[in-house]
Amino acid sequence: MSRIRLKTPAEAPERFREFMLRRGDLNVFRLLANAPAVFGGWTRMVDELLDSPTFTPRLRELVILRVASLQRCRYELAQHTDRGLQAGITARQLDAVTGTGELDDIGLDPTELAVLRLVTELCVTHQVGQDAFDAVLAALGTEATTELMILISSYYGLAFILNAVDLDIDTRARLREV
Amino acid sequence: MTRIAYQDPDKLTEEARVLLRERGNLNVYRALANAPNVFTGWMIAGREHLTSPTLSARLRELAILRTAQVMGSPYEVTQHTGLADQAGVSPVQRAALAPDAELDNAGFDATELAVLHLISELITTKTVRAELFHQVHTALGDEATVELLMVIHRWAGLALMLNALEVDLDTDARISIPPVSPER
Repeated sequence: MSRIRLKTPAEAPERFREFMLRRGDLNVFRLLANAPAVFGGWTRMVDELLDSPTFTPRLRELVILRVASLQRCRYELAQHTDRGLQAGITARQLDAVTGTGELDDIGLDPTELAVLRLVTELCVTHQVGQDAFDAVLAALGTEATTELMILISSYYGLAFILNAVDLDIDTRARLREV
Repeated sequence: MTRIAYQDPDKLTEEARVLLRERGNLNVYRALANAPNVFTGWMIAGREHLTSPTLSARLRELAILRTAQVMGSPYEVTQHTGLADQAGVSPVQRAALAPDAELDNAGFDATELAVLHLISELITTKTVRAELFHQVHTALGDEATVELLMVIHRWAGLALMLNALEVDLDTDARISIPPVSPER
């Protein structure tokens, strides 16, 4: 049971209601709508992350699912499991990425492996060794590597909110692409 | 030495350039400006945190410094030390925010102490005990509690980026708080 009362779209200011209806009437949006002084900026950031063409849906969902698993965030995992499968992640890959299994023998390509190794090292130690960083930079280039950092940091930080509030997992509502 | 080249502000959109310059043209922003598809939104989100009246500047800076300390981000600590001083955080209190220091005898009030304990517990264990959450929630109410959690969200995530990119500490430039702009 969520530790903070959730605001329905009808209770939210008009400028937030549009976002909540467009992206899906999710509990996370109902929660963050409690902070109107900062929710608008957060929604702009999320819109840019979701609309960006820099990553394939598959790579983006692999990153999000790995971060969610390392942060032990049930809410993020629940929201992104189906999206990951729809983006072409196999059930076996999903199990390994969200569990403690080995990443090496599940059919990930070298870029995906390098990215997930960086995600793991960064979320666990808050640092990244030079080799792990160089492997990602060589595979993605400067722009996508930088955007990867913002993607990781967004879901890593969001997990703290969701876990702290013990936010209820949505029964049916799912995040929508526009 | 940062692991990626800093972006030239002249290559950014006007909106992004204004956001970067009003905050002090810091290395962290010039590094993250390499991701133009998402940089502007990320900057606007931060701007709202720095200009929001919901949390006092003192509580906001305490939360940022505690998050920075627990995450291990010397860049964030350096950039926010001056802001914390201006907001009334004493040097003894600043020193007490280090993860291996003692919080209890540095003159924090009960709400500040609960907030600081929540931050370290959340980052370290990835959750917060119900009693501690209740203590913070009772003191702050819904709006400020959610905004506090969003501060932790932002600066914990930023610490990861700063460490991964090994962003150089700015020699002289320090973050400046932008003016409140109602149109945003």
